[in-house]
Amino acid sequence: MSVMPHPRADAALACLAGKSSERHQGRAFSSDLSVDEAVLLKEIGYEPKGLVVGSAVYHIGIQYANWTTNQEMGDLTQAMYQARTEALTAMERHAQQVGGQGVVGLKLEVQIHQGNHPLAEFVAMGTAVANPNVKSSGIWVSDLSGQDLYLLIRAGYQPIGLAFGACVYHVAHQRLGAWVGQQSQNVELGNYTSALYEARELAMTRMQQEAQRSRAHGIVAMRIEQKSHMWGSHVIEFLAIGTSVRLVAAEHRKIAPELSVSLDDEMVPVTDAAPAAGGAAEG
Amino acid sequence: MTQQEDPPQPVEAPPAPLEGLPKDALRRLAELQGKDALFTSDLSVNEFLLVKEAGFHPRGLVVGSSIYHIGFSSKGWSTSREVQTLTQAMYAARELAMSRMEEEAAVLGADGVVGVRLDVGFYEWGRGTAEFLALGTAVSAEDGGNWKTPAGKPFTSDLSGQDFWTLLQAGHAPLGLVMGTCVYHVAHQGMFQAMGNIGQNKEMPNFTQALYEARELAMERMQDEAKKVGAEGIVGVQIQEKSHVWGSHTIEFFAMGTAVRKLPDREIATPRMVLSLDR
Amino acid sequence: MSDEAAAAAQQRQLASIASLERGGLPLAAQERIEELREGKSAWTSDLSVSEMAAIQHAGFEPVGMVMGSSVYRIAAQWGYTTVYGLGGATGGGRVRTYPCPHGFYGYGVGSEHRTGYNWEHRFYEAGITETRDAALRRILEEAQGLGAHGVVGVRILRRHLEGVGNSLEFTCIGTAVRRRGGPKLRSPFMSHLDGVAFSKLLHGGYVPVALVMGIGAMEIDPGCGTEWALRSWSNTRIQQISDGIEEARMLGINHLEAEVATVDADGAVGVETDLSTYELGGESTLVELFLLGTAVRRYAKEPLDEPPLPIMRLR
Repeated sequence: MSVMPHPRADAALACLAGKSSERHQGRAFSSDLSVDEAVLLKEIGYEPKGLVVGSAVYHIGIQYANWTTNQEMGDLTQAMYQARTEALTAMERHAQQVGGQGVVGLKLEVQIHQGNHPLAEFVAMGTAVANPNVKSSGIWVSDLSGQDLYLLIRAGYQPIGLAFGACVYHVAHQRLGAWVGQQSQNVELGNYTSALYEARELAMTRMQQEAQRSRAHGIVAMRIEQKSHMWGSHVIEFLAIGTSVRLVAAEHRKIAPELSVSLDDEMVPVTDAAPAAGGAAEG
Repeated sequence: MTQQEDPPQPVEAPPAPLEGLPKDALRRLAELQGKDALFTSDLSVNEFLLVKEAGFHPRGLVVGSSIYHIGFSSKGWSTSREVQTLTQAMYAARELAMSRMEEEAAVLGADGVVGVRLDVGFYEWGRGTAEFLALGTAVSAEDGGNWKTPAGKPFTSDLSGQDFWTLLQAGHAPLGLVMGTCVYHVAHQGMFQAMGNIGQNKEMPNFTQALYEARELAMERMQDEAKKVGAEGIVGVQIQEKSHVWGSHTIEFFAMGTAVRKLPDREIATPRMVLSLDR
Repeated sequence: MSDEAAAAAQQRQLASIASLERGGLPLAAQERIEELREGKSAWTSDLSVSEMAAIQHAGFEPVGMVMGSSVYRIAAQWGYTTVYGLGGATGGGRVRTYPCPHGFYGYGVGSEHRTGYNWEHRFYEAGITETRDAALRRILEEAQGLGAHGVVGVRILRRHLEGVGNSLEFTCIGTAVRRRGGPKLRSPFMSHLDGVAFSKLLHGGYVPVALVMGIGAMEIDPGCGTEWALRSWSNTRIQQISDGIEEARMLGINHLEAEVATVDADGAVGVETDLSTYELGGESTLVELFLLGTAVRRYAKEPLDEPPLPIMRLR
């Protein structure tokens, strides 16, 4: 049985057998890009340069505070901010060393190592990429995937960096407990509402200011995270984080997606997972 | 759920509701206005591109929240009925959160808000209280058309960027989120009744009736809201049933959807059939 | 079992072990491969239907399942710091010292003042690498026995055997593929990417070369400076531990990139990373970063035949 010629398969095997002129120039790269991402980025001229990491291990204690008031814990806000920035800076240095222009698929995480001395490790990890036809100064950083980057760049945008703002807030809850015990009315609690509102708005404002400083046009894919980390439930860090972008084309380029209906058999659950409340038989 | 007694502590003055938006919010929104202002959004890249495709531009993340006391004691309740004070409380709390979010959008001069999420969150330290949080991305139309509600306020919708684009392709525009809620208490069946049912398969009429009525009330109220804004219909209705902090015999039935109106002269394109090989 | 049967079984076992000691395959594996190669049995594969279709679309066909496995004892020493500092057991790896900030020299483990050490566990790293090499040699031998051009969808199993101290098992299983009439290769390619990813990779202008691994292991023996920082009230960066973790990561990534260069590849894709920390005796910690990826060569500079079509699925 004769085999149909297949240009890609034959060229690939020829390359493995040692004959190819299309090899990548420069040092070998590592990357945590998936195949899908690697192929899409190649479409728009970006090649991976290497896996890059930065980390900072911090001992974050509790600062003294007036436990009966709702207030921002400024020292903790500062410390969380600084630790993340250090991890990011270390990663950007690494990216520069491997010749990257930007970092894709960034994961910026806090891992708490419990033990004799609880430690917070801030880790920033991603894949550095570069486009030889693009001139750039500085390293842009984003937690966008290869797919997101492909779409953004095709639409005429350039990512600038990760914009984030934090606010560590203490909620005075002892008085709340006492008040609730004596309460029979259903009303809004104005002071607690405004406390948490303030904390979120502060985090978001700081994020916006960071984006403004980097002369961004906008922020996409932002989210607000709330975590108590290792402090107990009455101390919460509000973190607003997103990717800042700038329009570099003359105007936004539309993509015109094609509508499709899939013939895959996708299972749509008929019943809800949670049982209806009050359905259990009780005498 | 019983309420614990705390050791006596100085009681604060009864809490007053929050008046107007906090000044931090106004300051933040001010920075998002003006010709060359920054935009913020919690839209994913796909959603962002589709919102642009639909002819809109994101302006900023808008947030509204309210911490509300929703505790309640059902001691001495022997019949199944609506707990009107709680229904009103759940309504009021969500309204407060939503209207603050809408106000932020209005401050920005936006035409509407997409991707609205309405969450009810509990903190360990807040017994009997819950935080109602409304979050979405405010958008402005690029064609300068009139997209606001008949009352002149920005439209709201819980549609994702993808659904928003698809809705417009299908010839409809969002008017606003419509909600209906009903908090119902289902009385315990009497002991003699329970013993009489042993060994038989029998409908429990008090439960059936209670759940039926509660759902109908919630949906009817949601439909009334839609009628009031002159909607043609409601899409993406979700019905949630939760006991929140009250114990299993008190349930909130909450129905929410996006009311829509027809857009003149829009025809949806024919979709192509595809079969994916990636699984 | 009769005496003859028992004796025969024991003979087989001895012969298999002898073959393994030479770096080869046990008898059962040799027999199975021969059957497959001679077409005496249907090919097996753990490919899904989609993967089969994608591989055929890329111009290849499945040949059979292949496996390589080995169990090693790792001879490594832990916590090797003494009154006089580190012993010679570091194997020439990286060492960084953190002297006591109060000016005392190391008085031995347990004393109030001591020097801290971060040091690279070269022997441990080498042990893991050797175990992996033995397993890889065997899976490649099976693939070669089948006349395959490469192996796709390789799954790796890496574990310590319970109850057997310092033991490490490394096993890899995948499906061998070939292109009829294709050139004979010196060594079949290997990839941990599944059949569909393999097809996309090929269409994107890249070809897999080999599985590559990176390993970085640093032991952190805290000095008194670090201990004091850990007990302080303020929010401080812990230099020694930060350095140790960062060093482990760098070692791992450098190791991976060195392997990519050794197989004459352009880069690695789909790298998975796994960071573990183990508490050793005393206050010491071992930080290990393990990376695994597929090394690739670019064989075509042009992009895809057609740019991808953006679609919006209604369902």
